[in-house]
This record gives sequence, structure tokens and C-alpha cells, in this order.
Amino acid sequence: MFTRVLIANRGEIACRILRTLRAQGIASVAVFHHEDRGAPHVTLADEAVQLHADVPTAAYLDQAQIIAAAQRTGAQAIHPGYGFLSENAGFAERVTAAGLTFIGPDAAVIRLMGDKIRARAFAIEQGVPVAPNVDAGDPQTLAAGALAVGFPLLIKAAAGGGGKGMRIVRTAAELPANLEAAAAEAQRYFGDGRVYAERYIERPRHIEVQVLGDGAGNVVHLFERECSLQRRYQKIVEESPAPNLPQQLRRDIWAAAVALARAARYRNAGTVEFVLAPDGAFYFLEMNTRLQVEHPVTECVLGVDLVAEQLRIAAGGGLSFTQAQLRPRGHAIECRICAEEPEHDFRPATGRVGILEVPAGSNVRFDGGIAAGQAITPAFDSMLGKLVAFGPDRAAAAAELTRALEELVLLGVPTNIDYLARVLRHPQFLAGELHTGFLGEHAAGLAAADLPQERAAATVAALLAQPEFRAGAFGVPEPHASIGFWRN
Amino acid sequence: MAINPRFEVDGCAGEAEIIARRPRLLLRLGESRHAVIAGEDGAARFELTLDGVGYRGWRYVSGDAVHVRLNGRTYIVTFPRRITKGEGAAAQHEVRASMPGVVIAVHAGPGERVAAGDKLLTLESMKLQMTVVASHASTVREVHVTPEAVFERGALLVSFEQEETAAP
Repeated sequence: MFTRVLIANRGEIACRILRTLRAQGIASVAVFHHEDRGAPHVTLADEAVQLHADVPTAAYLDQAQIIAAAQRTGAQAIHPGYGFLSENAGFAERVTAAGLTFIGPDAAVIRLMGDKIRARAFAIEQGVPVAPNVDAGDPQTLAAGALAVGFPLLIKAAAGGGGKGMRIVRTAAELPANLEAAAAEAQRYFGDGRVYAERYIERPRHIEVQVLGDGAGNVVHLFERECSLQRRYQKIVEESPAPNLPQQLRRDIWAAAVALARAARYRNAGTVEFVLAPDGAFYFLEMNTRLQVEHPVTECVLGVDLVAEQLRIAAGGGLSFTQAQLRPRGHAIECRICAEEPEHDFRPATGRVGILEVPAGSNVRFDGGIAAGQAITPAFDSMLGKLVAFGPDRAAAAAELTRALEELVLLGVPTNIDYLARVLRHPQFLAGELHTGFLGEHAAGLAAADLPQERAAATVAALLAQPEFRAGAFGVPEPHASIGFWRN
Repeated sequence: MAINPRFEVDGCAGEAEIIARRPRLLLRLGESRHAVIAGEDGAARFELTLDGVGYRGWRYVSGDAVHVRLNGRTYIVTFPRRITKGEGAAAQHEVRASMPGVVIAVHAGPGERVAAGDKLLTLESMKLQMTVVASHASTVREVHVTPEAVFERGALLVSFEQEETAAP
């Protein structure tokens, strides 16, 4: 096993990886940009190396600096987390060429799965169903093929992910303009303007399967996760197991995921994503060749540590359990805490974390990468952390997570915490009637209730935080009231 | 000091006024009156009684705003500065950033005549891209940012010529 591992990431996932390294007695090396100098992933690591770049995100994408940091500190392996360099085949190759271990799959597999068009073709070869589609090509051929597939259509970037460059087209008239815009967006985000189109499934569910492979063809699945609740094509609530899914369908989806990963001789933790149509048909969407944001729900129901498994596999130790040994228990739900304003179309927000009080409880887990005093800037992703709750069944997990969201205090930057609590209390959510359009469809029912008396109490609390107002109200200035100032 | 400060919370704006201090504190918030008893009060935690109902929560002062956590819900109460004479008019002649971000593209240049709805800038904040368009017909005086520039909330992005014809 490794004795020192470098984490090429930041935020909550860097902290998450650190926890396992610490538990295993492995020394940790963090990397950071100046803007993150006081961040928890830097202060918690055994050692931290500063990366230099004008743009903060560029620091975490600087392959040469990261590899040099690993070599200088004597790290034997690099864990890429998710995002940044985690699915960069060139980086995996360079890490290996430098004599280090990339904690992930082979570059060839990253490349295969990273190219959505090749990945689809590979899935078809393995007998894994894919939605009717037309491949990227010159605009005329693509447009003609798209008409043949039929509407509604979904246009996607070949090199894409995270909903970038994705468009739903409902009529032939809208097709040319959307193809052009999608290609331009794909070029800008991924440096690859190829797009493809596939049949858009109405009211789809997003079901994904966690897999672990040893690279020698041994693959186990760690059951499914439901990730249908999304805004801007990004997940905000995930759970395991998926509610209201016939057992046979569940088995078929697991089997498809395992077949795909086995055929790829997959090594590392990975996730095979499917779209599930209301009629029970399911189609391969993509495979993510890294640890997933929502991996904690799988860990909760199985009692496994996926980062520990990644480390073990990367070190050549193989899988630590057989399929038969994996028995899920209970239900886990995660929600992503983001700096954003749900009431303004989820626009990202910034500020400073003033107060952070995390709820306690043996069935509650908070994966965060923030600390009080930290500035939340537009430089990075708006996700601040994840709150996860476990229960013997789905209703219990939802109740526990709702309670935890209500108890979570994160002040200083607008967040979606209260919105998430309303989602978890929504009758259709509790009934497990989920699809990817859920949040839009129930927007009215997910709006905050008007509570005039409580709002008045909050206003008074805010007024009393103003020293001059206090002085006016009580006649004498109070020393501890010096926490704010009045500008008028 | 602030006499009758204005506040905004959840899209509701109003004015606060101290009506009486004794025998107990009586406040007017907008159109409603409330009897208040302040309880244990710290920098972060507070307790108060409003019209006989007790409340406990957390609060954090951030610039013009106070973030208040009460009964599992966060209220952001802002105390907007009173707009001084001339400030409202200035807003007609400039575009400021409503949130921090980075400039993706600049679509207009100095001296360019723009109509209402014409694209001025493409901005991105935390993965979200948006287009800034002209709110009215005018002539661009200066674009204060360049592609890839990082800006803070409230930053001046574009200014327009002060024209007689510039209608709101």
C-alpha cells in the first residue's frame, strides 16, 4: 500500500479523501491555489504544496506542477477526486510515465468512456441498450439523421458532461439554430465542437450503478443510485436504493453496468449512468471513470469506504469483497448544499461563510470543505458540501435529512438549504414519484411558504444586530452590540 | 443616526420605526406593529419574544445584510442605503454586475449605437452563463471589462453616453 498520496483536488472531495488517508495511516499531500490558502483541505493535510496560476481553477488543472509536487514530496500516487483532472486521459498517462500511480482507470479506458460517441458504440457491442440516436458528423448529415430519429431530440456534446452544450429540440424548425449553438458551446467548454443527437425521453429517471473493477476483468456492482432530482442538468438530491423500481428491472440495470465495466476490464471505482423511461426501458447514458459526488449514499447503505477500495485497487490489492458479500441495508439520501438562490432560478451566489454549525447524529454525515471565515467566490463550483442521512427505510432517511437540513446553520452566503428541505417534505418526493423534470414541474409547490410573523421576528433580530437601532430601542448602547454598523 | 431604517426581506420592503420604548418595546415594521422583548443576545445567537411568541436563532451581519436563521429557515434582511439624488439617474447610464463572475465575450464597443435588447456582454458566474443586453437605446461610451476579466458584484461593466434621447 502507498505511504504517501497526493490529492489533486480541493473542497469537500479533497477533505473526503483526506479522511480515508488518515484512517489508513497514509500521509496526505494537498495542493492549493493562493485563493484556497486557508481552506480546510489545506489545513487538514499533512503537507500542502502551493500551485501557481493566475486563474484559481487553472492551478488545479496544471498537470506539470501537480506531478512535480508529488515527486518533490515523495508521494507514490495521485488521487484526482472528481472534476478537474479526474477524467483526463493525458494526465493519467503523464502520472504513470512519471513513475507514479494514478488512482483511476487506464488512460485508454478514460479515453473510451470520455468520448460519448465511442462509449455508446462500445455499449452497443456489449448488448447494453442505448437510446435511438444519430452520431456526430457534418451538420447536414446530422440534421437529416436527427429528423429520422424523431422529436423531441436531445443534442449533446461528444466530449461533454454536466449538461454543458445539451439542448432539447421539439420541432424541426428549431433544429438548425440549436445544432449550431450546441456545437459552439461544446467547442468553448470542451475544445471539441462535435455534437450528437438522441431521442429525448420524456419524464425520464436518472439511475446509475456504482461499480468497482480490479482491471483484470473482476467487477462488482454496488447497487444503484437514483439521481433524478436535477436543476440545470445537475443533480441536487441523490439516494440509494432507487424508490419504486421493480426488482427484476433493478437486476437488469445492475447486470448491464457490470457487463460494460467487465468488457472494458475496468479498474477503479466507476459509475454507469442510465436514463430510465416511464415504460421501464433503460438506456446507457455514460460511464464516469472516477469517484462520484454522490458516492456517500452507496457507502451508507453498504458500510463500505469507496476511497479505501480505490486505494486498494490502485495499489494492486484487488477487490476486497465478492458480489455475494455486498448486502445493502436501509436507505440513504444525500443533498448538495450549494451557494445559490433557488428563488432566482438557482443563480450562483457568493459571500463569506460567517457561521457554520453542522447537525450531529449517528445517522447524519456532512461532507464539507468549508470553514467559518472562508470566502465563497465565483472562482470555483458553487457546491459547498453534502448532507447525507441514513435510515432503516426511505421515509426515515427523508425525515432524518429534513431534520438535519433544518438544524444546519450556514450563514453569510445564500444557499439552497431551505429549498432542499422543502423538496424532501414534498408529498410527491415522499411518494418516490421522481423524474428529471420534478423540480420544474413542482416549482409552485416548492416555493417558500409566506410566514409574516416569523419574517417579522427575523427582521427584528436583524434590526437588533444594528448597534444604532439597539441604542435607539434600549436607550443605552450595549458593548456586545458592536457587531454591525449603520450606514445611513 | 438612522431614523426609521428601511429594510427588505424575502422581497418585502418596509420601514422600521420605534413607536414606544416603555413599558416595553413597540415597533412598527411596514404596516404592522409588534411588541418585542429582547432576550439573551450574543454576536451569533439571539433570543427574542415577538407578540408573546418566543424565537431563538442565529444571525450573522454581512455588510448591508443580516442573515438570520430561525425555525429551520434563513432570512436575509437587507438594509438598503437610501438612494441619494442623482444615483437613480446614474443607473440609466451604466451596467453594473449583479453578481461576481468572469467576462466571456464583449459584444459592443465604445461609440457603438445599441438598441434595447442588443447584446452587450456574455458573463459567467460559477458555471452559469448569461447575456447582458441593453435596457434601452443608447450609445456605448466605454466597456470597462475585457474578455477573461474577473469582476466583483457591483463592478461597473458598461457605461453609456448621457443623451437627451436615452429613454428609460
